[in-house]
Amino acid sequence: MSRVRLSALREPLVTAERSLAQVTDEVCAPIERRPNTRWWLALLGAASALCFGLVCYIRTLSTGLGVWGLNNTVGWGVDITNFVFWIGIGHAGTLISAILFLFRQQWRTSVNRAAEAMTIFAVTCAGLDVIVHMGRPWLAFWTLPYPNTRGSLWVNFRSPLIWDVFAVSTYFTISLVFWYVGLLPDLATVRDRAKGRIRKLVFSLLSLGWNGSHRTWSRYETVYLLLAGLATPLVLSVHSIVSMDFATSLLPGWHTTIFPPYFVAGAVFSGFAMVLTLMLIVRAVLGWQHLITTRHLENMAKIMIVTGGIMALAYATELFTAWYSGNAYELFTFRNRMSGPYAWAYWTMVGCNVLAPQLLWFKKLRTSPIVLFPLSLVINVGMWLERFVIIVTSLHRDFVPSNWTMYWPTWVELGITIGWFGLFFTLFLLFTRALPMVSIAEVKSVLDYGREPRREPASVPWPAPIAPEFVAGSQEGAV
Amino acid sequence: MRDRESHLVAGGRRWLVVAVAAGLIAFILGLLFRPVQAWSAFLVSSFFFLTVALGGLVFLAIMYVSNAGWHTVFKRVPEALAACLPASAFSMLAILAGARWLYPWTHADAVLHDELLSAKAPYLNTGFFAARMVGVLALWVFFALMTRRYSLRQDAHADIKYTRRNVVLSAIFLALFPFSFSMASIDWLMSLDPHWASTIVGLYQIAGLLSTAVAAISIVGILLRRRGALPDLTETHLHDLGKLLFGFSTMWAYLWFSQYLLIWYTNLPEETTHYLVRLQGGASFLFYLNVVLNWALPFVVLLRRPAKRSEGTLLWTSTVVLVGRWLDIHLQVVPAVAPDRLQGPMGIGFLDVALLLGFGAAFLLMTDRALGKAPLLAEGDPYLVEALHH
Amino acid sequence: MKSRLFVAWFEREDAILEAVRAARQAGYAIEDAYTPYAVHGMDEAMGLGLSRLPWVCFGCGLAGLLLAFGFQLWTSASDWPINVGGKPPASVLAFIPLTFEFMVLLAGLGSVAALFLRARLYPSRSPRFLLPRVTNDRFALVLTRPDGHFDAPEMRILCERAGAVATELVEASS
Repeated sequence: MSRVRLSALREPLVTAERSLAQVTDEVCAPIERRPNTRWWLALLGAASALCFGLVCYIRTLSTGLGVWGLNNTVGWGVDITNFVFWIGIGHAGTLISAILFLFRQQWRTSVNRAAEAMTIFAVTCAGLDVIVHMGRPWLAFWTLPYPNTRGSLWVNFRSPLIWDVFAVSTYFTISLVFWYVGLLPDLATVRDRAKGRIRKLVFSLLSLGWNGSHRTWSRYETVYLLLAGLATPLVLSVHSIVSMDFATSLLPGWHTTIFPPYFVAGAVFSGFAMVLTLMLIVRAVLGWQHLITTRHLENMAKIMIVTGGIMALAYATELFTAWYSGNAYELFTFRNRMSGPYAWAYWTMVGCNVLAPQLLWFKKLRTSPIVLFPLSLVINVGMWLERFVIIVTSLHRDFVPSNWTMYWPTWVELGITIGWFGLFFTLFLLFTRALPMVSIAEVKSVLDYGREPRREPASVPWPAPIAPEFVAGSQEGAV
Repeated sequence: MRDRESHLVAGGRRWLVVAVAAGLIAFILGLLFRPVQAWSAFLVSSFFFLTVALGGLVFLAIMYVSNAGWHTVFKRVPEALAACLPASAFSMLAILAGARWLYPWTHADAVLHDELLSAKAPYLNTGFFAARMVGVLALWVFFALMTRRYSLRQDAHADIKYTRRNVVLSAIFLALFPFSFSMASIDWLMSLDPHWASTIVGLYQIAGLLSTAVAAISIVGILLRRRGALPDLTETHLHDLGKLLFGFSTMWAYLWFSQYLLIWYTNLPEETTHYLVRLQGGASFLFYLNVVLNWALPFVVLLRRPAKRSEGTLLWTSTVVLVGRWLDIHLQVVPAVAPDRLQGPMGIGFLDVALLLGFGAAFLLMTDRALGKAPLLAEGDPYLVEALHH
Repeated sequence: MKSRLFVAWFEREDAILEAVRAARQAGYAIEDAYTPYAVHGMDEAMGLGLSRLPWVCFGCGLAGLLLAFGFQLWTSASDWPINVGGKPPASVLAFIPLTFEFMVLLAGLGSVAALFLRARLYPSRSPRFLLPRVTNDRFALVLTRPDGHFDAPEMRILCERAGAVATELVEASS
């Protein structure tokens, strides 16, 4: 970092003085030691939840959708709520890895890996949820435009549900590729310190022969920038398209033009709450307070104030326009939300999403893990309820009063909901054991940030001119 | 401190004064013979330049809040734009005098015979409208003056506390700005056609304001650099400005498309009227030209890295975006006020152009004045070192 | 064919950057530098030009755009037009979201595929040329002979002046 001059106001990103090797050791440690009891207990809990969800889904499959609480009026319920919720959770990961990268926010380096992993696991949940909520999941492939014997009857490309299929699968693919490309240098680091033969083989195959060549680094950086540039509009488009599942309808409370940006802001908002939840646990369990610092928590809290503010703006605009438009149905829907049978959900949502984040205006509160942890949970509850409110309150009292009815999820639906959390946390726990949770290479590049450049000779003596196992040229690499 | 040095207009001052005078005469003549046209042209240009000035303030506030350092080299440029905010606010207030030519809900008899308008009367009435207008304008002007004051003090005393104060001030401003500007967009633009409503209008205008701001800052910055007044503005800064212009213009397109797609898809008569008016008649090409100028052209041109770093390319792309932004506002206002005016071959009249040029000349003169009041390089800014080695 | 390579190890990025600049000035050919993270400023120091990978990205994106849009138009308006909800068969607006998704998909996959091909990254048991500790905490500079002139002692002095902690001559098959 000798070239870049920094203002005296800048503070180090990694708050403890660390050498390059120390960073490697520290980040690799959790995946090189045996898991402890706490980890096994956590996995047991998550896997149990997953199994319970599976049982509930098997019941749905064997009996039919009748075991859910859906009815003729309310055709979408907790199932779609979960879908929108999980897709939204994913957005924060892409925001951290792509958008903050484009804005040269270097603090992202110690949280982007875990956040991207979270994205992939959340989108896995969402993608599977699409299949789970189908009436006939064995016909899921009908959503794909393939030549068929029904005269080649193509899918309806004008339907937002088909856009969803492409948006979610593209989002999953690009996020996975982005994550993998980002992992390559670290996979090589793990490979080069691997002890066991199988471990060495697996990481050798995964790291694609990465050898730290700068010619490769240079191209790699170019592609990383390109992927970030592609992922940024992609993440906006995905939740916009999800919002269009609702907004292209004629239903009051669903059809409103602010939905695309409003859904995106909500997604980032809830996603950051989930990143905070995970990061607060990770840094406490592993003692990584110098990597995932108070500044990281504070910055994420600030992003939550901004996105929470956009949410408040969207709520206010919707409410105002419901009155201003003079549309009786629109106005009724919002009245029903605020004072109808689901008013508890609406007001909890407002409390969690609009009022609670206002605490973050105070520096004392937004830098305190004890405040942030419960707050992040509260926001996630609020954002789940928001989707529930949008979906259910608009449906349950539609244009024809004789259709009006209530919707209550059954234990099967709630069980599947619990199952999603089980799947998400199972995957995340496995990730913490398998791959470096922090981007080693990227954190190394910011070690000197905000520090005086060290000019004195190295403290660690160079052991030998060349490592004994090294014989250059012995490894023929012709394709 | 250099006093009243002209950086921007130099020898062109005389022509600018002539343009201001011509615009004023055209407006007065317009008031006498074609008041609706004159007032709509006035609203378009007045709102447009208000967004330029306000955009400067929003840009600065975002930079303060995010502790950015790269922009400090040309920080005086958005400050100078924001310094035009009081004058822009006064020109917006003048709209109150012409409200009856523009807003149908100001006519008591029209409201009486229209169920929707009477339902909206608690919000859409002249008194409340004026109060809201004064309120939001005062709010913005207050923040513009305070931010500028602390920035100059920071320079004079090199005391970090003024930067910190500006951070707090900017955070508060950014919390209030989206709400106040959304309301202003609804009041001043959307209520021109009081039967139509769309929830995205506020965010749409905010996105437009952001791309306006970056385009205006780039233009002024590059002009100063060409005069040799801002030698520290390097290619790297232009690259970042180019990226921001690219990003904000794409964001604008995203919101434009969101509204168009959703209204087209649902096909509700009370919503589609907005697009029908703008898509019929000889001037419907303006509707598409709007997207080309605001998004397609800057997108294609700025896609390549060398283009963002090139002074000339960025200058003319920014100009195209500004023209596009003016056209965008023109297309919000004129078809709502006088739908038949779009039936002509152009849809843009002599008065529209005359007022745009008059306003533009006045704005340039004011920006130049503001630039001359303080050293162009914010010497006392704690982040300047980063911008100089960017 | 065997070629002789000169390898110098460094502990800090400033040191290797300095050595690279000095070596280039002295007229040595820089085979490559091996670093634990992307060292900014190395491109300029080594004299690497701008990558052409963005063009691959652009080409793939354009192909995705045309393919997706053309396919939707063909299936919906030509091959089997069906009236759904009164929307016109060629609903250009409704085709845009999917076109965008497919464009991003192809552009992303294409760029990564191009990176893997160009940088010769593929699954293998061991890397082609791996210097010790470069994925951990050392920076290695590999110099080769420019036009038959290979002056190891001088290279060594140059690198050590820049802060090299170790130097070595190795034979490598190329």
